Amino acid sequence: MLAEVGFVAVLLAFAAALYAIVASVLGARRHHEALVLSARNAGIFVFVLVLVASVALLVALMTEQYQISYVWAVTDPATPDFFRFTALWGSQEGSLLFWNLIMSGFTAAALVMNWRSQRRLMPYVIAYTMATLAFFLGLVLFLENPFTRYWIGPDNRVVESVLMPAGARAPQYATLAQSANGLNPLLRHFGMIIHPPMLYLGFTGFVIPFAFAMAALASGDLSTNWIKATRRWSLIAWIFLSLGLILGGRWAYDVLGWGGYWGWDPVENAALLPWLIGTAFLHSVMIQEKRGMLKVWNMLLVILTFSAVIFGTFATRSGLVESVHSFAESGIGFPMFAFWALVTLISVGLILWRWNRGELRDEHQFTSLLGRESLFVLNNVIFVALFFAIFWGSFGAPIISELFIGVNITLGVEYFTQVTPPLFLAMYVLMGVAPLSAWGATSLRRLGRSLAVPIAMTLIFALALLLLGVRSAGALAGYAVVAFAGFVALFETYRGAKARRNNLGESWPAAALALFARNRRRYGGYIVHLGITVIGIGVIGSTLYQQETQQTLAPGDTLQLAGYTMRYDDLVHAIAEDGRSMTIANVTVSRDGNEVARLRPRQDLYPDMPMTIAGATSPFPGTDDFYVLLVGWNDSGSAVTFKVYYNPLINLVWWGGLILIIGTLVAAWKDEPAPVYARQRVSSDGKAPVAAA
Amino acid sequence: MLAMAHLARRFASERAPAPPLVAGLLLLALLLAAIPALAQNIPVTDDEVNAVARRLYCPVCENIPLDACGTPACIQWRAEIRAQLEAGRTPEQVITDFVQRFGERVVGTPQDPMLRALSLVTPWLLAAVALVVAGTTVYRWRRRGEAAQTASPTPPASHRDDAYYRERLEADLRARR
Repeated sequence: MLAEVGFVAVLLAFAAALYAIVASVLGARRHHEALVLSARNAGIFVFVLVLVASVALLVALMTEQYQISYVWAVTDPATPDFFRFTALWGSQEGSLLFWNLIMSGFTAAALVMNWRSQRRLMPYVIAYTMATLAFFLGLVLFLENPFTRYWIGPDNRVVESVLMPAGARAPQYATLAQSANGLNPLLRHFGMIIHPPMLYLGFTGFVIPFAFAMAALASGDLSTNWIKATRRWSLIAWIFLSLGLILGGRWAYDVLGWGGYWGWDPVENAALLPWLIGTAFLHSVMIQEKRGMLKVWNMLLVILTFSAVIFGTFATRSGLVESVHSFAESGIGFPMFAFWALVTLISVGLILWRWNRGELRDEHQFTSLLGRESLFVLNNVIFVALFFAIFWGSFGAPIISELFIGVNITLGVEYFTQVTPPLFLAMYVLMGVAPLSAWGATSLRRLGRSLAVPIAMTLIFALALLLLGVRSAGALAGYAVVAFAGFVALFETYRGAKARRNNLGESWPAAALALFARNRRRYGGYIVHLGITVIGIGVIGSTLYQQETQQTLAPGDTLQLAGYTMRYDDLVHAIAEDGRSMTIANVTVSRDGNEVARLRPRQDLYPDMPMTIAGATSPFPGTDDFYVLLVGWNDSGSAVTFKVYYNPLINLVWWGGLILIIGTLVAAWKDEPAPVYARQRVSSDGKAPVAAA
Repeated sequence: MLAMAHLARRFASERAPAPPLVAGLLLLALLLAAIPALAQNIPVTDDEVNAVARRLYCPVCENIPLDACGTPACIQWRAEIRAQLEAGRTPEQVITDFVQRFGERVVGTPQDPMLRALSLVTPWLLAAVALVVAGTTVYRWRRRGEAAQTASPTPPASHRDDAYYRERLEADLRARR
């Protein structure tokens, strides 16, 4: 019954999405308001139907309906309820349905919230969002259906089908339950449970700015309306994408057992690419809002962001990452590639059409090479260069090499650590300089005056590092450049609070709070910059100064690393509730003779899957981490091999991520309105009064 | 090989008179010949194995460095790295051997000069082109802006917007007719 409910709901959602496309386009062309309204209702109804389908699958997972092949593939009778719930996105078919649920949720929310303010754009927004949804619903319906069931055919062969084939019967429940697969052990971690939804929220969220941009191009309303309508949607998508990346890094650090959080793997990079272009878009869009410039560029960036989302999804789901040839073998490979190409071509075509008609002219010209507009353009160039450098290393070079030269290559950490650091450092320099530059014209002298204090703070910081023993020129330069961006953010906030304190006599906390309340976008942005600075310091420290050793110890033996002593105490074996067998080593870490932590690195062996999970430990609340992996052991535990990492400043990566999220939330929050006296002062300047009567 | 080493020891212990150059060359030849034999006993630590394995990618699992991969195949490959290091091979020789046997895919950047150049130079070229295009565009915009300001004083923004939207309105109306 659940399979039928889910299947019919997806089928109806697909039909509703197609209807919404036709009705919205016809409504817009014929100026038929009722048709557009009907299209909007159909668009909202798509969400309701996908929700019904998702709930049906969830109930099937929770109630152990193993006849449904998806339930059989991702759970077994030993799976705890919590993991049954998260199994909804544990494999391709379910995660595609979940993807549709989130995208339809975003779409329904945007249709409801922007309906009154953006009536001219709405028909086209409906058409673009529904076209995207129809494509992904089509994938679920025709290629990756999570509601197919197992049947025993008349010839006693097992067949997979949603509806019961003629003459077939249902298999024995006990047989199905006994042979069920269970969730992939790698996914049984908190980071992995929450990481995919965050990433999907980030990915699918960008459909809203994309649809509004396309609507602006299609409707001819090329003012800043689409940007005003989508600023918060873009920030929301960006927050989730950032969270997804941070949690993904944490999961890799805890579970994959290689002592790091970012391996420059193509799957990781596929998520980073839209983030980079999305970040460029968030900056560039400010220029259009303030100065009416970069209209074409902003359109291109939002298209590239969404295009990167679709490409990343295609690359990771189709098998392109493994080999350029394997995507053709995957069921969804070719349709996804075609959709990605079609979306990109149509979007770029629309831009070119409007550009040729002269409708994307900028309202102002650049007047100074040091103006904020110019620096933001440079910032965009850096982000785009990073995008292409990472795209090239992850997909471009391997695909071209395999297709045209016939040689399989991998561009790994060596490539990325050679190519990206200069670009990242340039990004940090601009992160510091650009906020101090004024819109329009800025003289070098004026900019230099604004930079004097942050540069002095940076020099003092670098000197302090030198005195503390940092001798590597690369590390010193890296720390200094990254810290400079943070000092600018801190100093600008201090200057703002000081101005309020001097003018209004407020206390420091009151002045700072008022500052954030009045201009959340600007000062939220500074918090984000501070978060990126903290992340940067963590990345430099943990990359350049990581130490590691691998040694085999007998009970009571010790090893030394980075001033710490680790003693191996004993080895224990245990069976967990879910059936996995755990081998746990007890070790004691001390420094200067004082015990600092007792750690329990372990390996888990799952009964049905020959897979071991390396359990790492992260005991220190401060900045550094002592990371212990259990690599091997003999039966008696008399010889155990440990791989131990000392990761200095690594926890700053997570703390920086938290600061970044807080800053983005502050920036996305609506500004507090100016007090009445201030608004009245504006109206007395001869402009239209805006104060309430 | 052991015989050669034995000869060298005997040569050293007998201290037989010989012309210095000949004796020196013979000693050098014997020492060079004896190196692989002596190297059989080079103790190799896990850290040295991992330092080489980190520069290699698992030929079976995608994009996982060999030092971090826990599959039986990778454990075996790490054992092979150890054996080669114990046999006196340098890390570079071990890596070259892996590339010859499993292809360019096992290293983080290709060893083949053409592929290496294609991989490493292209992004810099792209970045340089992007920078030049952006620089030229900004410069041109700036020149255009300056020229516009010199030719006629900038009209108030509201007038400019009016003209712009009037023009667009006319265009829309023409399209509807």
